[in-house]
Amino acid sequence: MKIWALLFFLALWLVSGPSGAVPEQIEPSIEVGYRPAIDTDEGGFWYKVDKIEEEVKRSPYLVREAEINLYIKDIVCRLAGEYCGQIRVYIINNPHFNASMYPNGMMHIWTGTLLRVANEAQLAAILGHEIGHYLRSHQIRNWRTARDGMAVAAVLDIGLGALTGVHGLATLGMASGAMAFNREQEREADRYGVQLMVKNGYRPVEASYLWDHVVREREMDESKEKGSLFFATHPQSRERAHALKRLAGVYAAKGGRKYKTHTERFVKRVSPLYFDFMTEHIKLQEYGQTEALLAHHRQVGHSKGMLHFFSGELRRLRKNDGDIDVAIDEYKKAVTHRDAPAVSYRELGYLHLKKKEKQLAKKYFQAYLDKVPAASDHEMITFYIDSIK
Amino acid sequence: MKKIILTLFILSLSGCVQYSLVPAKTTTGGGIQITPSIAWNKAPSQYNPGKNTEVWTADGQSLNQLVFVGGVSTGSPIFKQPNKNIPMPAFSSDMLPNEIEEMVETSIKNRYNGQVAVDTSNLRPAKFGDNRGFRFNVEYFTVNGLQTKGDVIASIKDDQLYMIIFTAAGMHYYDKYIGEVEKLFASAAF
Repeated sequence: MKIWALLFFLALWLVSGPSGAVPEQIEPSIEVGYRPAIDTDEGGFWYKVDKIEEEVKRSPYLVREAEINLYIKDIVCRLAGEYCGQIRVYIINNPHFNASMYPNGMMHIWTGTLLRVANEAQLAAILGHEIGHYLRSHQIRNWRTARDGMAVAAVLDIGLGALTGVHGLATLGMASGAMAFNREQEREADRYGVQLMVKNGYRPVEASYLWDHVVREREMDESKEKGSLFFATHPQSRERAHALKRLAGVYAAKGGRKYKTHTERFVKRVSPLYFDFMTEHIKLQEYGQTEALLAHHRQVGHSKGMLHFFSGELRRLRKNDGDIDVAIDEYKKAVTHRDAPAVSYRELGYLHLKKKEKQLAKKYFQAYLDKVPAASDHEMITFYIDSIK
Repeated sequence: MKKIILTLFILSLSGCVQYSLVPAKTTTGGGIQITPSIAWNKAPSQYNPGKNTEVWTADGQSLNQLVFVGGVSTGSPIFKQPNKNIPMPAFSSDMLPNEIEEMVETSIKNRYNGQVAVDTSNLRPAKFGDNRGFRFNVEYFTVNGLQTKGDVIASIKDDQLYMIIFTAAGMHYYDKYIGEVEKLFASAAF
């Protein structure tokens, strides 16, 4: 190599700086306790979002179970520090992967997100990202830019509630189209999220693993939402995973810290609601996605009884060649675990009935009623039991 | 003159979408014979959610409605697909009641573009006409946040699905009409 080429690369290295420097700390752009005066443009904007928040509180899609709410609120508080009191978390029952932040401190996290994250560190990555949007006042900045075009105002007037998933199972396209952050803001929020993770002892590389999972899931998915606004405005998942991995590498190289993922704690807190969350997901009829999720959940360590049950559900509903036999097998595996849903027995009863294996059907129907004598379909099941001699 | 033509034009348009009165006497809905004990309003055919369906309402479709599903064959859905990304499940004559319950649940959900979470419960045997059938309840919130409750009665006869789906606003309307609906279900023949 010629000497000038060496000099050129040396110069390039000096200009770009040695890799591995911890990125500059991002500072909040709002003060603790910040609230705009009502007679300002921002105050008016908050007023509208506050009204939406009132609707959110009444939404039938709000997950109200205390334990999961306290758990997530606690993580948010640790991440947001002195800003904790300004952020209100609402868990929305929607099986898609989404979380959103509003300028007044209202944060939404969809239950589908809890099905994608593998541990508390990954959840912290999402929550930290959303807190990042809030602390850097991304939304009001966007609103000021868009105001002339009235685009965002128009969205508010037709009711953001309908777009946030609080009135219905909004799809990602609808939800993110309402108030998309631009890519630069998304990147900043990602960096902020990692910064907050590190500060709280969460393993920073987990943020990138989450996006690796998202990439894998989408590869297995023949989804209707591939071209959605969510993926148009969010940095490509691959690019994002890569950038986050690089960033995590920088923090890891710095050393000296023992980072945690808190996987067990996460699984324990989510497991009481896992059945409900997955039931909504399977109803999407996105079987490729469900399959990817179940594979992911096996790695995460969710309950085996539940995993076999939902593998059975997936096959029973998808009905590809050979699926029904696999479904029977999966339900049978499920019921060897104590935490299997009781409806596993019922589904076994029905599938054996369809195969004209009446005595087996009767056995499982009886087992179902023994488990849940007051099941809402007990009359139907009793009818079958009585009709099989 | 222009005004008159315009008025006539508008009238002619609205003429196509008129509801027709269904008096309280024996009639048919979607091929199912029933005897209502109050007057209902039959929706114009463009409101029919599927090929073999017919819609009645007492106070307006968003407040209460009866959907008659008469004779759906294997391979056909009960409702039309709202768009190509939201496939409607198809009926099959070998379906068990629990599978039809799931099909109805998904069909209602997809009729609203997949934006409502529908719950079903109380699956139980019931006589429908002279046939062995079953019933179950549905419940969901519309995208406007209105709680909706309903009752479904169904049966498979000669490999075809016959069904009546009653849904009404949980507030006031469901309770107001459930008595009439029970009588109507009991009067069915097909």
